[in-house]
Amino acid sequence: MTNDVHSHDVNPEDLTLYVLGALDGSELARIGKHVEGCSSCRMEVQKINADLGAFAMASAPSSAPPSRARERLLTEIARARMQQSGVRVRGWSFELRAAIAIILLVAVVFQWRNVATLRRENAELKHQLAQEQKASAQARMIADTIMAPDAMKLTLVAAKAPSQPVARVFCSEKKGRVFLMANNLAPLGPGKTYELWMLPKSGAPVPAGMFQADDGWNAQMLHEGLPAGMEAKGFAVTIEPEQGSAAPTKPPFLIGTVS
Amino acid sequence: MDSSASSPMGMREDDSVLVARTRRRDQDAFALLYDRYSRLVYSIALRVMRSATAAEDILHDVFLQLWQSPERFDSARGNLPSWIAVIARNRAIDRLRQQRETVDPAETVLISSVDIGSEIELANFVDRVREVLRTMPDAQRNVVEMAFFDGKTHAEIAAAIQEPLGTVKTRIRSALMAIRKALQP
Repeated sequence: MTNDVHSHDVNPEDLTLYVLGALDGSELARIGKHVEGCSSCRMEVQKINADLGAFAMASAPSSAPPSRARERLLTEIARARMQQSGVRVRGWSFELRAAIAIILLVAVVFQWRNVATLRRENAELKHQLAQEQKASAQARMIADTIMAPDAMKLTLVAAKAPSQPVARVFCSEKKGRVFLMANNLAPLGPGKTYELWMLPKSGAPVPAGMFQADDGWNAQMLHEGLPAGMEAKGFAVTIEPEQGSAAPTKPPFLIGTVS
Repeated sequence: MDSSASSPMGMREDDSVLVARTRRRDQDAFALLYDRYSRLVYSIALRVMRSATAAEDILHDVFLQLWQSPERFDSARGNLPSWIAVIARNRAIDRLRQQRETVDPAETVLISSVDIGSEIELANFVDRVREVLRTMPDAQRNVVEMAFFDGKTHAEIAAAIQEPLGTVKTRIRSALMAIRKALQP
C-alpha cells in the first residue's frame, strides 16, 4: 500500500491526517479526490479508521450516559415505527382526503364570494351614510341659521310692489307637526289672533295653532297634535277671536294648497 | 463501555447478529446494542464536546443513525465498537467545528483484523491498546489526542506545541502504527 500511496503523491502521514480531518481545506479536497479513485488508499483509510477506533476505545475516560437518553431514543424509534405503519392507512384514505380538499376548496370560494358581497354592500352603506350625513349637516345649518337669535328675517318681493303678507308652512303628516313662518303680518288689535288651519283632502278644516305678529311684522309658530296620518291638501290662515275657534269664522286671510 | 449487555437467555449475542436483527427492525436487538455501546459513544462524545448535554445529543444521533442505516456497518470487515467509536468522534467533531470541512461521518468504513466476539475478547482488545498508549511517549500520545478529541488541524497542533509540521505528522502516524502493530494477530 505504501508504494501505491507514494506513487500517487499522497504519503501515509497525510492520509492519516485526512482521516482525522486534520488537514486544511485545499489539502483535504486534494487527498479526498485522490482517495475516491484509489482502491489501495481507500483500504488504508479503512485501516486508519480501525486504528482510531481502537485508540478511542482505550483513551476516552469512561462515563455512563443518563438513563433518560435510552428512553428518549427508544421512544423516538417506537414513534417513528408507528408512523411508518400508518402509511397504509394514509394510502387507502386518499379519496377521503381528496373529498376533504374539495370541500375546503368550495368553502374557500364560497367565503371569498361572501367577502366580495359584503365588501360591495359595505361600500354602498358607506356611500349612503355619507349622503345622509351631508343632508343632516345641511339641515342643521339651515335650522341654526333660521333659529339663530340674531337671524334677520326678510322677504324679498318685487321692488315697486307693496309688501304682501306671506307665510311658509312646513308640515309632517306622519309626525302630526307643523311649523309656520310668516312675514308682513300687520299686528292685530286687541282680542284677535291669527289661526292656522289644515285643510284635509276630505272633511272640515282642522285647527293648527294660533300666533301673533311681532314688532317686525313677522311670526313663527310650531304646532303639534295634528291628527296623525291625515293628508292635507293645503293650509289657510284666518283672523279669529283671541281664544281661537273650533272652525274658521272668517274667510281665509292666507291660503296655500299642495301643488 | 458496557459490554455486558446480553440476551434474555444470558448468552452474549454477537454484534453482527444484533446488527442483522436491527436491519430487520428488531427493537430488542437494537436495545441490546445500545446497552452494550452507549457508554463508549457517550464517553467519546463527552471527551470531545466537554458538555454532558451535547454528548447526550451525539449519543442520540449516533444510535439513531445506527437504527436508520445499520447496513452502513459491514460486520464482515470490522468490529462494531471501533466503527461506532469513530462515528461518534467524527460526529462530535463536526458538531464542535461545524464551519470546517471534514470527512463525512456517514461514509466511515473501517477494516480490522481483530474479531471481537466476546466480552473477554473485547476486554483483551482494549487492554492491548491501553498498554501501547501507556508505553507511548506523552508527546506522541498528546498530538493524537489533540487531533482526535480536540479536532485540531496539524497546523494548529504544530503551533500549540511549537514543533514543525513534519514532526506532528510523523508522531500521529507512528502512534497509530504502534496501535495497529499491537493488535495484529
